[in-house]
Amino acid sequence: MQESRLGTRLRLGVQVLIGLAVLTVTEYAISAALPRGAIFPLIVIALAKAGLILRYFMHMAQLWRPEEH
Amino acid sequence: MSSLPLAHAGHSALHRLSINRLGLWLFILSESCLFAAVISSRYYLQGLHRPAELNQLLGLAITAVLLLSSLSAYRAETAIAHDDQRGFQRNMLVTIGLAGLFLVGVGVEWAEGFHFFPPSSGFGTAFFTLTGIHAFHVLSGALVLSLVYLSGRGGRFGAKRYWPVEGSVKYWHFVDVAWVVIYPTLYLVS
Repeated sequence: MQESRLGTRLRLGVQVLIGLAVLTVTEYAISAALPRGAIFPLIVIALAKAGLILRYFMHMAQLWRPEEH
Repeated sequence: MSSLPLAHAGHSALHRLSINRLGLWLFILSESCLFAAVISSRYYLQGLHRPAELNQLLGLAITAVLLLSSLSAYRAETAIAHDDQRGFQRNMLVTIGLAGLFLVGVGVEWAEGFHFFPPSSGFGTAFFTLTGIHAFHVLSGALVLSLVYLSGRGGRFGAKRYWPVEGSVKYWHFVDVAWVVIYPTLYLVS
């Protein structure tokens, strides 16, 4: 049981990293394809990446649900 | 009756952990204000100007290194929360190694930057200030992770007691979040 919970959590970490990698490549491609006026999509992508880290890596929800790991 | 003191002890430990977490989040919030001020000064002073000589591939590479280090830090915390000592130690070492690699990358970028956009230029001021403050945070984060790794080698932490691991890893993720905003600010917008 403990083993499977650990495995699930480790897989979640890999999934989040894949999401972050896809978003990073997307912002890089946007910057290369739209050399001017690309600031809005870049801000949205940066906020999405920060949100992923805050939600899944930093467990921000523990602030209002202390028992959650 | 006898379970009451145990229940109280458990509640007290959870309360203390909540206070620890709140304190760390407040610290992170204050640090975020510092980064927000420096990032906004980049736009105020330079607008969207970006020098063509900026090494885009190196910027992307060090971003990838930092994102990978966030995964290994997450795995270290998850491992110790499940009493996996070997997984904790291995992933802490990987995180510390990736932190060192990131700092080497920043060093290479600085060597190029001094040549193409020195600190006395407008963009150079923003670039060296932002990357310098961030690199200092990376260095301090790596030092804290190293201390936690060294003190945890003897099995000091476990599933029931791992706040030092959680705290240092949270700080490391914050360093990553800061870079997630700094990277497009310096390398991508134009």
